[in-house]
Amino acid sequence: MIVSKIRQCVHIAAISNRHNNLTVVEKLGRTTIFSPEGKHFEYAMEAISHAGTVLGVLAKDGVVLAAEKKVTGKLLDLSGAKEGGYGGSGEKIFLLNSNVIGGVAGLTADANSLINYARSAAQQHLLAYNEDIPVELLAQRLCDMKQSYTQYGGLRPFGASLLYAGYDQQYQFQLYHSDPSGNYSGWKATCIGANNGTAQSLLKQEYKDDIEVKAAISLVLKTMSKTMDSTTLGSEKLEFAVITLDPETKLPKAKIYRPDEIDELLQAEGLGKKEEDDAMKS
Amino acid sequence: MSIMEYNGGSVIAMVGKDCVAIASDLRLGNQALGISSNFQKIFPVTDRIYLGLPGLATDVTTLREVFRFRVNMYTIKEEREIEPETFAHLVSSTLYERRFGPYFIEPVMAGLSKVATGGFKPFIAATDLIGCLNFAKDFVVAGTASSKLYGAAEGLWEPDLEPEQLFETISQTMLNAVDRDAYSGWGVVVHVIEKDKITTRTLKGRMD
Amino acid sequence: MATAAVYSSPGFDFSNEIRNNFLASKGIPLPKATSTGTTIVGCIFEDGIILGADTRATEGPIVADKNCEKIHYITESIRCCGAGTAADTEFVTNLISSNMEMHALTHNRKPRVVTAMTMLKQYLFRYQGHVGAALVLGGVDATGPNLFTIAPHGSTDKLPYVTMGSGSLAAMAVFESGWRKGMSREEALTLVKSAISAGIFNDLGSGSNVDACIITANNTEMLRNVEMPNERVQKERTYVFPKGTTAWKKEEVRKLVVQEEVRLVGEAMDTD
Repeated sequence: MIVSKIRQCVHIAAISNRHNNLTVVEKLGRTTIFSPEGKHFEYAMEAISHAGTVLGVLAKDGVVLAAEKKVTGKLLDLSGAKEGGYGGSGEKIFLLNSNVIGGVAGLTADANSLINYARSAAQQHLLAYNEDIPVELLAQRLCDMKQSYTQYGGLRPFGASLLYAGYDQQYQFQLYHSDPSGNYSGWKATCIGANNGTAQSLLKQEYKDDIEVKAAISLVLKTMSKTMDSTTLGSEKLEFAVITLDPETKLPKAKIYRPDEIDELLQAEGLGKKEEDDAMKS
Repeated sequence: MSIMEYNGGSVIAMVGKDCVAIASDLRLGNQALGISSNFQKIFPVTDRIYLGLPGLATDVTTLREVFRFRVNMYTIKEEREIEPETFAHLVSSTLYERRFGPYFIEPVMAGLSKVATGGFKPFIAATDLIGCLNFAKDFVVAGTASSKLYGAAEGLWEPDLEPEQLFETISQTMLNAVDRDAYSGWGVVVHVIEKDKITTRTLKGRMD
Repeated sequence: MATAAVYSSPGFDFSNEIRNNFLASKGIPLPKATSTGTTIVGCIFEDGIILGADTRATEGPIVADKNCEKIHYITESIRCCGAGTAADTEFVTNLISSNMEMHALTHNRKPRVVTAMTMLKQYLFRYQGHVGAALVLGGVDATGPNLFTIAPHGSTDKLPYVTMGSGSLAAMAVFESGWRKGMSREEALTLVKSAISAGIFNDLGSGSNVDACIITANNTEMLRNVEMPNERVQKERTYVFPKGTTAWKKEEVRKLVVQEEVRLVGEAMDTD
């Protein structure tokens, strides 16, 4: 196996100015060479496959996102999450714009950087066009950025995959998935992170094309309960979000559930904890 | 002729008892030629902060969009609404960034800021075109009729006015001041902001 | 253009320079920014420094702010009075204050007045006087009390008593007659108050109240509105209008949510 060494591209300056996250530039520019095994993505994908599951399901009147939290524990200070009309600070699910919710799996720090970029990109589009950014366009912006890290600069790729659940006037509800290589595709139902294979096959069996949001919520929660590591579902391990359309204003409504709302939902679905399991309440 | 007089327009904000009011005229002109009697200069930033932007009309639109950008980013990251004092400093820094090529706007802000006990405190502020903040306790004015607004407000304002009284006072201040200024007028809009509601009224005034 | 402009790096943005110079050449000058016409003073007394300032901010001939604060915080024991373009004095003192904090932490030493002076003069010189800030910087540090004056172009003077601003001549006249070495706190404060008052009453660009700040080795005391010789008399009558005076064409009321109460009800969640 012969690996050719290609000199680094001079685009380092452009990238570092844009993102201000300079890392040590490898002398031989090893990240920018072609390698048959695609080692860099392998490592990134490895990291992601150990991360908490994020599941998305597209319904005809909305999109549902659920995620398994990996950072949990009694000592965690979640007081900030109780209030906050936007669903509280999460670890996996974030509001990107009023019409798009993002779910992340992988290196949390990398994911936070991507979330920040996505939010700025959405606002820049709003500033230029006075309209909410179309969902696919937002995915493209992020993917263009992620791809440049694979070709220029000698910096390593972002170790995080994202799911984008959103609405725009052109294509109504959509669900996209993007990975560290900068590749993205649209899905009816998909899963990233740990146990995504299991979840994906479960979804393939159960998914119906004209599913409604209420049924999609049940499907997502059922699938999560089967693929998650813990024995019972609860708000301290689960993050949940739904995007629908407000019937009066006809505007997209993104809702990231608060912990108490998640518990309520689980009770309604019959997946909540029994009385005895009250030991770990956040 | 000054660039601030090119399109014309004026804004005033006043403090009342547990309420604030902000008013502007509705004129948009091209020097002496009046073009629109429906030009909005006051914009809601959050439920409880209103921003008035008198000055060059193109900068009115641009600044409104720039602040929408920055406040959206703040809201999404902080996961709460921006407070009036913080927003005032955001306005100040945004304007000072352009110190040597400023936006031709003199912003006026009015709002209710949260108090630790859970209530609200009235808040008004204004800046000059490069971001020098003025936190007044009574009223702030800006625009082509500013000197007339200063005089009228100084005479008519008194502390602790109830919302209905504040409405009358700010309306009479505005109507009479813009009647003495050629570049302002063609209608007046007044917003009275209380902790549980905002009343917006379009006044009947001289259209000459 | 819009995309790059909004989330740009810190510092000044000169992208409108060409447009503005063109407009100026066509006879449309830059609008007047708020200026602190001002009287600001500083003097050394036996225990330290006293700084004084008036509180009027003008926009051309109009008084924009009747009670603004011109004594800015640099560090705990260093304060700076600012005259000139109000936005410039505000931002330059904020910037140097921030850098002084950083400096003190990096070098693990109490900050010195000369450091602030050097930072300010180098910044102002870099901008060739375009940042219109004329400052009176004073404080007590490890070397004792220090008082400086910094002009907009970046020149500095170290003196036992200084005045700046449009009212500086009036104030300096008072200082020249009254200043002695080693004055007590009361004498120095009286002198500063009368110097500022001279500016308030005789200079058009200065007015309203007197602010003072007394800095000693172990204490800084800010005396905001220590004298208010221009309080408005009680108005003789009330000008409140009866309800219904003003006619309106359209009314719209928007109700706001004051407080949200979340009550848990054990039913299926409605996502509409």
